[in-house]
Amino acid sequence: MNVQELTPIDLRHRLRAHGLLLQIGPFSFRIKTELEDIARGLSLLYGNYPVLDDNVFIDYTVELVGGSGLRRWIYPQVKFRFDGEVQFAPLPPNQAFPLLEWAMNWCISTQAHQYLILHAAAIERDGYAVIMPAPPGSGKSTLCAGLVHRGWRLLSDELALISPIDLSVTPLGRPISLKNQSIEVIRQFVPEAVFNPITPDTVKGRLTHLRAPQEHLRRIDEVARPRWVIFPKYVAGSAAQLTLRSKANSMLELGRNSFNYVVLGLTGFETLSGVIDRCDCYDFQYSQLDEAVAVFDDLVARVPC
Amino acid sequence: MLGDSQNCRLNPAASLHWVSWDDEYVVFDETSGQTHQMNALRAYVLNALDKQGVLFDALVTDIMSSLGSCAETDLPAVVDSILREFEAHGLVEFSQT
Repeated sequence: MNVQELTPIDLRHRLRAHGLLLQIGPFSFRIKTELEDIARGLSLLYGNYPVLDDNVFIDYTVELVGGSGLRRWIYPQVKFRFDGEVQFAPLPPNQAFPLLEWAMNWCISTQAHQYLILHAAAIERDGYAVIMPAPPGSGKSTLCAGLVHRGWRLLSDELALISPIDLSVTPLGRPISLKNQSIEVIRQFVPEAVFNPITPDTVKGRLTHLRAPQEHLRRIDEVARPRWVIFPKYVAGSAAQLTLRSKANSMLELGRNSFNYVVLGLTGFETLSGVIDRCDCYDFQYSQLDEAVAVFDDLVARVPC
Repeated sequence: MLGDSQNCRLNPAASLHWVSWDDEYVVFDETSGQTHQMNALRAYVLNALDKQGVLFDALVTDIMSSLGSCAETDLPAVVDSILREFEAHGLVEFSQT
């Protein structure tokens, strides 16, 4: 059963009672909340995600709670609790849904050490994965959102999960986080895209989440082989251009962009060097998504059969 | 500058793992958890050291003969700088013979 098969009343009842049990990529979440914004956001963006039975093992239990007492009325807040303990500073209630997304990222990035976790987008075509690490503001998520609506499959917008066993990239398939001008860019590029309502005034500016393409979620169990590491950068007015970059330096940059490279020790080193060994590494600058898509498509076309 | 009689050795606690692509090297020290990117010269210097140690002068001579005409004119100063950087990262130790 998927979330969209629950009635609105059942969805809210589960969220308020024992929690909504969701399978998201390789992870299981129990989400508990009474907050209506979260119920609406889950209904809109997570409709195609499987609802789990009560008897399965749950990886992460996250709870988002509103303020109590006077906090219900004066400067109301929303808090994230993990296994009952409050994490992060409280936020205004209109940021409840982004807080849920950040909370889920936090759970995975601090605890899923069965993977090497990179702060990077990952997309797939013909079985090959592109890993795109980049700092905030580089245009990574915009590029990812554009490409996954032009023939590339979404593996993850934010957390690339690399298996130390076979170096495969495991899909996470979460909604794509978009900020500020990127929201309008993708609205124009993908008119049929489904967005959560925009949250203004977050620490990252205006923010929303874009629903992951449904057909990509049907292939959520299909891992991909890393083939390219591409560091994207939006440069206003620039032509789309790939520039080959040093593998050794790319490895160090990926290590800096990892949440648990140091935690994994030698396993992290062997995994990351294995990924770099299999990948061509590039810097990529772009300003127009159509041009970027053409460059990425050409990469795949040039892979020997 | 390190003296001629300065003994340079790999930190006995270091446990190094190497990968390379073309003339670039990445070294992981399992003991410290640090990862280092190196060019060919740095990699050669680190690789030339062992846990017994080698005299600075002998190390420079060895590198010079390996590099031949490519050797930098101020090679001792360059090697000195590299070794001190390695020491700061806990990769090498110095002792007086």
